[in-house]
Amino acid sequence: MDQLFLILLNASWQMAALALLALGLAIVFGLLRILNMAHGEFVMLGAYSHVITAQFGLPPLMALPVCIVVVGLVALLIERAVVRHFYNRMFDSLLATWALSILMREFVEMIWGRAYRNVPLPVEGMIKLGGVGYPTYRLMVIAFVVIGLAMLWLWYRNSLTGVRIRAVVSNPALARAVGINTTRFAAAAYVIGCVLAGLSGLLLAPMLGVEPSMGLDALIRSFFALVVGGLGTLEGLGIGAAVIGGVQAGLSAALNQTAGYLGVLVLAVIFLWRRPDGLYRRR
Amino acid sequence: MGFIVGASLALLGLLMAVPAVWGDFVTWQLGLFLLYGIAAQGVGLAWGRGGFLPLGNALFFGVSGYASAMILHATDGALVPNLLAIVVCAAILAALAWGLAMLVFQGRLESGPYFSLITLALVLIVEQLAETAQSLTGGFNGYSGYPSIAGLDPFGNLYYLIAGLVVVTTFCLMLLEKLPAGLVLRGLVSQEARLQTLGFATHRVKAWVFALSAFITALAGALFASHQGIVTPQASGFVLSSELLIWAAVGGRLHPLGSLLGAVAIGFLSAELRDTYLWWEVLIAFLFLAVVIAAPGGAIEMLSYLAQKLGWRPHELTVAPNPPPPTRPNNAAGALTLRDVHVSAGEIRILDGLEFTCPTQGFLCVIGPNGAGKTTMLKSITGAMKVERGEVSLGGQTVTNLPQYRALSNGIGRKMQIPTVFEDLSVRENLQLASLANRARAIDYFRVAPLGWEIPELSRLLDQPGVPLRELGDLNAGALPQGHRQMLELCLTLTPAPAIVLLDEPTAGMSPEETALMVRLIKKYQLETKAFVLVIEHDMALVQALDARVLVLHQGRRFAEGSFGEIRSDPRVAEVYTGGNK
Amino acid sequence: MIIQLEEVAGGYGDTLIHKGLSLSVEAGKVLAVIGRNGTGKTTLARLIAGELPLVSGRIRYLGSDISQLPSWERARAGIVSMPQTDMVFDALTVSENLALAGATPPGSLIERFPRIAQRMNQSAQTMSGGERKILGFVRAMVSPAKLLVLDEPSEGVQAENIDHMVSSVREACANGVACLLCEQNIGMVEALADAVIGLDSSGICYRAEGGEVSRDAMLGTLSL
Repeated sequence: MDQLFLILLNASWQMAALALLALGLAIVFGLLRILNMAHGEFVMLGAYSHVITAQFGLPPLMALPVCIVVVGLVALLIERAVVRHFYNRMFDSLLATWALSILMREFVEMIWGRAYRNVPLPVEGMIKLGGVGYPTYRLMVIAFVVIGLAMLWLWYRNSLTGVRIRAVVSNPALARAVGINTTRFAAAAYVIGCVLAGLSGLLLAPMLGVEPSMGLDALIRSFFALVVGGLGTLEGLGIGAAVIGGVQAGLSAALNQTAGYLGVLVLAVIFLWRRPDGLYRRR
Repeated sequence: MGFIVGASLALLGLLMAVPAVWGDFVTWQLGLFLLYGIAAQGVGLAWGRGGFLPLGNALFFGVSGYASAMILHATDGALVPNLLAIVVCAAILAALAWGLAMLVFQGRLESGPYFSLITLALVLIVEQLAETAQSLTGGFNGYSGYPSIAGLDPFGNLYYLIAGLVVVTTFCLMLLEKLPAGLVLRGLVSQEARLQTLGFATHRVKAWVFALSAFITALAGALFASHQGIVTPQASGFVLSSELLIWAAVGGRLHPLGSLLGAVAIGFLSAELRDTYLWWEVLIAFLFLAVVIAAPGGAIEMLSYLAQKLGWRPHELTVAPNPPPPTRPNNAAGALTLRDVHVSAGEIRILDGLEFTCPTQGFLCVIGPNGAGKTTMLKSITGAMKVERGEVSLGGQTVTNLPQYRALSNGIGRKMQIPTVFEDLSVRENLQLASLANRARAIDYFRVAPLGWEIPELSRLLDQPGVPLRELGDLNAGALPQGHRQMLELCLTLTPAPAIVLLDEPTAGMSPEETALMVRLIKKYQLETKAFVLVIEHDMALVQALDARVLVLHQGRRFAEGSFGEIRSDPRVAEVYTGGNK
Repeated sequence: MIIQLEEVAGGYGDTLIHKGLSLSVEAGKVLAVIGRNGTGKTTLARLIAGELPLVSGRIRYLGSDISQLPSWERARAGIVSMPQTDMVFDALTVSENLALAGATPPGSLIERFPRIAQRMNQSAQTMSGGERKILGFVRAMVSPAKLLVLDEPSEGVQAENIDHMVSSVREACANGVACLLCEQNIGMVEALADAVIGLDSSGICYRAEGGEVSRDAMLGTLSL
């Protein structure tokens, strides 16, 4: 019984972590219809915020504002200089953001090298849950993700800004006709999506190995979660993260990590073939 | 053709001179980058000529390398079994690549991201497997302890085998460019949707391109095993895949020599400089970004531009005109009938129980206010939009919801509302592509003669006074003004001689003289081929000039049908246009 | 003078639909633009709204040159458009559509179009074509406007609702709002227009003001 509970906790952790990782990609793809191939690198930058903070001798909690500032500025620069020119051109935006991801990886490698860095857990210790001890930090992250997504969903459905966002996505020309600056909207959507990716890297860094190419795994799993769940909706994100995270956790526990990965890939290809709109149909 | 042979011989000569001039060590280094160059050619082919981005091609390189190493081990380097094994292994990998591409590209036009991410995931998995399957692959330390093929010395004669392979792949890829197959690929990258209306199953084309890309990459990977004496997981890894992309892009992915140049030049420089200058990789990444955004042709295109400034002209292939085979018989024939057709876009119903039968030949003009569903009707006939309920049939045989590329095999040709031609191709090449449609068999794509096919339907159109397309042959189709573009589009639609022609606003944006010319062309075609031509038009003068039956669509249904005179004097029709009761 | 077009040319890509169009609308007046499909009514509406760029010529609005002004700035400055197609946000409810207009509908509008009040929480995409037109119209009427640009508001709408639209526009004009009305419904044009411009494939083929406006001449520009 305890063993089962532990497996459930691990699965919840995997699902929550994946939902957090994929959120930024879901926003950028859902609102702008471009696949941000540099998504993983923004996650990576967020993780490196811990390294930057330590390097400048700042208290560890400063990693949060450092993350927001660094990732935000880089995203803003990239949106202005590159991404802006490729809206409505899916293949070209794929290519351009892929090139950017290579550049970002090489840049980080040049400054900090290729070595794995360990980021200490901000909160140590375990909490006893029904006879099983589970790391406090993980439970905090799970709670944060669940509550955060719920609040985000409520806000999106009920606020005027949420209405404006849905308006721009639904009918950009009409949105302009009611006075919404769609250019600034696109820039904001991209920057916010990237900052969220960075924050996920910041929060998950103690559990992942921090090194320049850590973003690839984040990109692939986020993308596959969205493929399964349905590209571009919050509900789809939740469902996709649950399915992919669950499958990966299950297969990794039963067999090994590579099997988990392979299982995710096979599942994604099947979904792509049979249900290209994902599980949650965009209404 | 002479140019390609000449260039290949020059390349061969150049490569042969290296050992004599620079000695064994440089030759060995060059051998490695030539192998990477072949792999880069594979990537360049898929990306530049297939229009999709493979992020994991090193997996074909590495897997073939491991397989070759194991077989060399088992057969102690014997020449014939290993050559056989190399080809068989490459063919197996090519078949797997073909299958994957077919799966991913079927039925979707915007499948680029999915393909890229799946290949990325695959290469990461393969790299991980290579690292963890210690007993099979030697794990992280690699697989070694096997002889090279036929015992050839990597610092000596193995180089000639590699050089030979490079010349062969370069020659074949350059040849492919010139053949009809190469033309189809350039049309694919330029305007995939239009290629489908010309009857090409584009997902299958992409699958063959990816298979060829995998094949040549695998060949290079097999020789890599002999060249290095050890195969490590890096050979099938993400980093190499990324480098292949960068080399192909910066060198020039649109030309096999470009990808080769990129791998050799940048690969060499990187090997020398990356340890000395930490910022070297960042510089290369910047270069890659710059090429991707601003210079898709890469270095080779810039070199070619400079050469042209100095007077050199790219070689133009001239083919003697020759008679074409007849068009393939249609899979379905007969009167086009729509029965209770319902089509929606999202929740909005556009066609609401549309029902009518077309004559087997002659003209039908479809008119109606905006939003009546005219273009949607055409799209639902050719499969561009999904019919949710109801049936579209040809002479009793149902053709509802077939993929778009099947329309032409059923004898249906469609001209789109916004003139869609192959913008990056010249006018002549546009017409050559259309000439291949519905006539060429598989073998014809690898012969030069079909480029000179003189299609009678097309010649008749081009011979008409006022049609300037013959003189404009060398002009890029993207530079044509609207009127000429409409004419070119009409030629593209009529050249495959469809029995049913769907024209969506064929004279939009044309002057009165050009409009009159188009009417003559369309009428002539119909007279000579006894086809059925359906025309959507707003211009009533045109409707009158065609002297056709008229079908009025309103709110997604058939509203009225009759001769031009009857429709013009029908008060209900006038109300539909002037806003009477709905 | 609320808006003035001087030798305006524009179209799509290489195709020029308008080659040198000039017109003006004064405060409190309605200028109707009539013509069959394909003659450029929607293109004109889009040029004024800023969705299409000017190839040449100028647009003056309240004395300033707005030719380069982006469309959302024009909307904020009081140019309110109701497009011919996609005139509502399908993904939003009726009340959300109206919320974007920035004000709540006055009682008089609700009275005229009770269906709107009844369907406040209904998603716009489940409404019929005519109802969506009415929603788009109400949204435009509720937005703070100095110039209304209405592109075929009556298409697919029942006669009695067309009459309500006419009353609403008249009310707005009485408050000084100018209106450019692109239409094929002669009845609506007759009821509202202070001046009429007729378009055909070569440009303006008919111009009339006030009492000169003739039903027969208008029908002529629309005939097949």
